[in-house]
Amino acid sequence: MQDDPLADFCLVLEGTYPWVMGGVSSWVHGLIDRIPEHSFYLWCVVADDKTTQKEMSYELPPNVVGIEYIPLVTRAVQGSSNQRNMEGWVQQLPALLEILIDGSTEHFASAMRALDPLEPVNPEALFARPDVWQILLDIYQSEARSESMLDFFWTFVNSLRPIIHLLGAPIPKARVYHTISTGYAGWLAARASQVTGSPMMITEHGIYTKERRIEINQAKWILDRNSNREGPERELPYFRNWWIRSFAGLSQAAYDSAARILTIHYGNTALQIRDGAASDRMEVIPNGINASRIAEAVQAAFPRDGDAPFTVGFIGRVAPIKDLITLIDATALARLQHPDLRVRVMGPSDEDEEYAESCMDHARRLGVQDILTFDGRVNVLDVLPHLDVVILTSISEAQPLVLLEAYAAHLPVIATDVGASREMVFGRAGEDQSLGQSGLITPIGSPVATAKAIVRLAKSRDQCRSMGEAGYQRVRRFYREEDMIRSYRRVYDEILNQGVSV
Amino acid sequence: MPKRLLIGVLLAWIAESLALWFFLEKPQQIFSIVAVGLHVFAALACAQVHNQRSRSERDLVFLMALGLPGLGPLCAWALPGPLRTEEPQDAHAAFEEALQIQVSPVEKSQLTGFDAQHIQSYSEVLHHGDLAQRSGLVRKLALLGRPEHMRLLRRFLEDPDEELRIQAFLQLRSQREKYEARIRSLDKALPQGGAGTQQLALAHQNYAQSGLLEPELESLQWQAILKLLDNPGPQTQPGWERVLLQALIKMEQFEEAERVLAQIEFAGDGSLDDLSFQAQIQFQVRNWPGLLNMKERMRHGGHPIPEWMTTTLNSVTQEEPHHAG
Repeated sequence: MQDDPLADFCLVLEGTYPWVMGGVSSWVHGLIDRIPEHSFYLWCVVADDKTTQKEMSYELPPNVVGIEYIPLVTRAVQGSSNQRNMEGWVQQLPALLEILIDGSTEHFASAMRALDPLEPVNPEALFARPDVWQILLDIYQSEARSESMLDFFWTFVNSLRPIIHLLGAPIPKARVYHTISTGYAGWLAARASQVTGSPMMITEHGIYTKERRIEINQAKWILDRNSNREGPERELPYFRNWWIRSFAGLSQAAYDSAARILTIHYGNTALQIRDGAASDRMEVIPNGINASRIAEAVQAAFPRDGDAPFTVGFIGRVAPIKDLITLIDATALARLQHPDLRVRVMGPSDEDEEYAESCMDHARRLGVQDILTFDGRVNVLDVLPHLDVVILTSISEAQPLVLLEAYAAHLPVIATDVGASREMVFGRAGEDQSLGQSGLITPIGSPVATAKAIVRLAKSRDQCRSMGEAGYQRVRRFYREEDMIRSYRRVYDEILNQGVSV
Repeated sequence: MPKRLLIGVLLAWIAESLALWFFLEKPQQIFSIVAVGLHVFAALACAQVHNQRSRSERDLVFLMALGLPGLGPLCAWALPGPLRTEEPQDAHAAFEEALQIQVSPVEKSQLTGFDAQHIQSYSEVLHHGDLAQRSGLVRKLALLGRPEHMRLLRRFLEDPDEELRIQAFLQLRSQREKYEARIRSLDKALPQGGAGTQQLALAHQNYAQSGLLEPELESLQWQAILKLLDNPGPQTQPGWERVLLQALIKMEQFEEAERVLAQIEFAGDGSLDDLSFQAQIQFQVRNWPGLLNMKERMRHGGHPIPEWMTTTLNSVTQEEPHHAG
C-alpha cells in the first residue's frame, strides 16, 4: 500500500460501513461527513468476498481517500512458503497464543514488530509444520487432555487462521488508526499502531466481547462433550471458554494499544473496564442529533387530528434483534384494555425477509392485522408528527438514535432495558435526571410489560405530554449532534498532536 | 417438492382409489390390509420429508393441502416442532423451596424435571454463581427444555446482567420458534374441522403448556383452542376432549368444563390414566365431591391414591363443598 495517499485517519471497521446499513454505519458516515477538514482511509474487515460484491449502502464522502477490505474467509489465501520466513512466523506463534489463551499482551508489541518485515504466510502451510503441531500438542497436554483431540485441533486452527490472515494484510499509511470496535478490527488497528508508531483510538458502540460471549454461549456448532449432563455447569465448557478467551485477548490487545478509548454511553464503561480497558484513557461521547430539524417538522404538522387512535410507532429494521414478535404480542394484549389503538411498524423488511413474513403471519394469527401495520421505509420527519409514542422492543442496542428522534418530536418512548435506554429515559445524573422521566422502560421479551406500558400512556395523555417535554429538553441539552462533532474534533486534534502510540 | 415423493403420493392415491373399486365387494380384512399398507407408505413419505428439515415444512403443507384421506394426520405428525403432549410435571418440593418457585399441589406431586441431588447446586448457581456459571445455567435450562426449566429461564429476562438477559431471551426465542413454526404450518395447511383442527388445537395446547409464555399470552393460546374446538367436526381424534377441557379450565369456564367432562366417554374407562385425568379436572374445577368420587373409583380399581389427592381432600373435609362456577 506504498502508493496510498497518507490519510489523517484510518478508520478500521468490521462488518459495517460502507456495505451494511445500521446504527454504527450511519454514525461512521456522519462522522466522516461532518469533519471534512480531515481525510479518512477505510480499512474494512468483512465476512467474505461476497460482501464487497454488493453495492455500497452509502455514498462515500469526498474526504474518503481510499478503501481496502480484508475478507475473514477467503479461498484466495496466498503466502510465502520460504522456510526462513515460515520459521519467523513459528517463532512468534507462542506470543500470539499467549494473547488468545491467557489474554496476556506482554509480547504483543514485539511480536507485531518481528512479524512486520516477514512475508504473509498461508495459514494452512503453517499448520502443516511439525513444529506448529508440537506447539498444538503441548497446549493440548497442558490444558485440554480430557477433551477430544480432534475438536481441539479444529478449534486451534479455526481461531488462529483469521488472526494470521489479518497479520499478513498490508497496513495503509495514516496518522491515526481509529477502530470502531475491538475484535478483529481492533486487532488490526493495534497491529498497525505498534508497527507504524502512529497512535490508535477506539470508539465502541456495542461491547464486542459481550456480543461474542452471547454468541458463543448460544452457538450450536461448539460441542460440549464433557459438560455435566445432570447438574449445573460449574465452569464454562472448554471450547466455549477457548473462543471467549480468544476474543477477550484480541480486545485486550486493542485496549492496551489505544491512546483513547471512547464509547457512546456510560453503561458501556463498566463493561470496558471489566474487559481490561484503562479507565484513565476512557471518555464517553454520546451520539447526538439535529433536534431542530425534527422539531420544525412536527411544528409544521400541528395540530394533529384529535380523533386519531392512540398511535404507537416502531421505527427500525424488521429484524430478529428488534424483537417485533414481542411488539405484536403486546399489541394483542394492549388492545384488550385499550381498543382505540394503532401500531405502525416503519422500517425496511428486506434484511431478513423470512422473519418479516413470520411477523406478519403472527399478527394475522393474533387478529391484530387491522390495527398493526407494516409500513416499510419511511421518512421520520413525515411520520413522527402523527405518533403518540415511539416504541423500541430490541434485545440489544447501544444508544438508539430513534429515541432521540422521538424526543425531538416531543414524544415519550417505551424502550427495553438495553444499552443506553435507561440513562436516556431517566437521565444520567444531576441536571439530566432533574429533567424527569421521558418514557417507560420494559424488560426484554416481555409482551405483558410492553402492553402495560402502552396502555398506561394511552390512558394518560397528560403523562405522555410531560414525558415528551422532558425528552425534548433532554435531547436539546445532552444529545446534540454539534456537541458530538465538537468532541470528536477535540479528540482528533489531541491525538494528532500527541502523534505517538501508547 | 421432490419428484419421487410427488410420484409416490400420486401412486398412493391411485392405489387407494383402485383398492376401493376392486375390494368394495370383498371381505373387510382385505380392504384393511390395503388401507394399512397405504398408511405405512404415507408415513414413510412423511419421514423421508422430515429428514430434509428446511424443505420439509413446505412439502408437508403441500401434502396436507391435497386432502388425501389418511395423509393429513401423518403429515401433521411429521411437521417439525415439539410434539409434547404430557402435562408439565413440576416440580420437586425442595426445588420449589430452593428457588422460590410457586407450584400447585398437583404439580408438586410429580417429580421429574430436576434431578433431586442437583437441586441445591442449581440454587447456588442461580443465586450466587458468577457470569460464566449463570450463563451455563441458562444454556443448561434450555437444553433440558421442560416447562419447569422454561419458567426458570424466563426469570433471567430480568436478571441484573444485560448479557444474561439477552442469552435467556435468545434461548427462549429459539424454543418458541419451534412451537410457532408448527402452529403456523398447521394453520396454513389444515382444512377447518376434523382431525386437522384438533391437531392445531393440540399444537396450541403444547405451546400454552410449554412454560415459555407469560400467563396473559398463555391465555391467548387457550382462547385459540376454544375457538378451534367450538365446532370440532366429525373426524375426531382420540384425546381432543382433553385439550378442550384443559382450555375451558384455564379460561375458568368451569361449568362448561364439567358439562364436557360429563359427556366424555373415556375409551379406557377405569384406567389409571383416565382416572387421574378426571381427578385433576375435578380438582381444578374445585368439585370436591367429584374428587372424592374419583378417589373412591381409584381405590376400587386397585390404583394407588396420589398424595396430593389425599392431602387436598383432608384439607377440604372441614369446609363446605365448593362447586365450580
